[in-house]
Amino acid sequence: MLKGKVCLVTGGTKGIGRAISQELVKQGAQVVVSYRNDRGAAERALKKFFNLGGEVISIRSNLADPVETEALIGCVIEHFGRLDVLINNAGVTVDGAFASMAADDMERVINTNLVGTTRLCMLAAPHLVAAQGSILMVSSLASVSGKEGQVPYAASKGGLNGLTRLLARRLGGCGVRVNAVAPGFIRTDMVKSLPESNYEHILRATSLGRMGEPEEVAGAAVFLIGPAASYINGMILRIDGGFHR
Amino acid sequence: MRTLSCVIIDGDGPGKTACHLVTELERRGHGAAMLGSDLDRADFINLAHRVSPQRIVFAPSARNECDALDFDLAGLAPKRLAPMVADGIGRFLRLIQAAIHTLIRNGGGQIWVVDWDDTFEYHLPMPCSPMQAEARAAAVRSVAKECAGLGIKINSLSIQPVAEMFPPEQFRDARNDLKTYAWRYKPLSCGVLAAQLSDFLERSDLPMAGAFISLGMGVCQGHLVQ
Repeated sequence: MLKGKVCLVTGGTKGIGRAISQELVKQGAQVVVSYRNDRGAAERALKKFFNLGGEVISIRSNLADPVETEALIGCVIEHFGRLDVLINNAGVTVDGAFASMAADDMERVINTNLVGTTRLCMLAAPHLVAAQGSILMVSSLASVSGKEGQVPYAASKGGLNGLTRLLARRLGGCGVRVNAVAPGFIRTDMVKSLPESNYEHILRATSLGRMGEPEEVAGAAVFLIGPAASYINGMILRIDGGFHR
Repeated sequence: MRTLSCVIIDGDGPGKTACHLVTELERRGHGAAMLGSDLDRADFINLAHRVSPQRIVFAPSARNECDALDFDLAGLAPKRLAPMVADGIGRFLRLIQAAIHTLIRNGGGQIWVVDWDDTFEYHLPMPCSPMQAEARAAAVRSVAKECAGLGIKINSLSIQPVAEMFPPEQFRDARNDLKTYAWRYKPLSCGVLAAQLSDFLERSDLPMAGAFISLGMGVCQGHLVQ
């Protein structure tokens, strides 16, 4: 269904971003994955995508840097000549008690997750309008439920929800849909290293009684950008296994 | 009831909601000081040292993300929305952290973060900042979880456009456009909103923390279902 579509996935070499990129490759899309600094993870992901027969390139780009962000869009257009789908997945977090958090740490989270993503959307918008494409934000359940120890992260993801509604309102009339997924507790590399006692209470508050897999987020992401979701716009879809606390 | 000391941040935003809040608080015998939207953390700390507030209110700001986005999408140069977001949300986090320090020092208290319900922007030319509003609401939910044990209750208030913002015929036109949503465009006055918020501020046993409250007469829509 996505055959021939050019998709840019920021932070597309690890975790949820990697699972989304892989699903796009399986669906026949041409995929550009960006990464900030882990070249090894990028090479491993690309090898996997090539083995699946994908047409994929990777670009190193720090979203907090306006020059690199502009160059990222330039590279996509230079290589493929168009952009159909933008998936804003890249993000960082600095966890800790908010009362004692350094201003630089707060700024880094907001600049990467929200300001950089906003800038990228603005740069991509003309190409997405030309292609009648779509945007997907990877938000977080922290934006909906709040998360102690992650105030700037939750704020940045809340801002992404607002950006989703704002862009959906403005770009909908131009044929571009904008939606978001808000994943809950997902089995990424970071979580895999935690002892079960650290997250047992989260699983108890999840009606499915287990954590989610990155591929389960990818399935919803690909649905939202694809033709089956052609009348869905400005939606923030929780993917949390029925989490209520 | 004891006299309260209150600080209202971004008191110069549109709709004069903050001015009405100050008037209402002073009428009830409380102290109220305002911090302008051009001022930042150091100015707040100076003010807080002078007035030792137990209540801090973030009023709706004058930022208009819709205008900035329209400018950027016009293709001139994507230069307005991203800096506005960086400045607005960065400043909010710095200020709310300083507000928490102040209330910890003063033995606890309340923080309220007030924003416009931006869904009205479809029918009224009002300041619209969904990114800021949702970022602030998400921060409030998270901070509430951290501060519950410190005697600090922090909540979000989403308000509909007030009667003082537009002439009656503009509200009437919006009502006529929408028919079944007519109640959404029967605005409350600033005075009524200020009185309701003052009631919350006066409660020493406020029964909410981390709440997201929509204040207005009509059906609230467009926000995340929590």
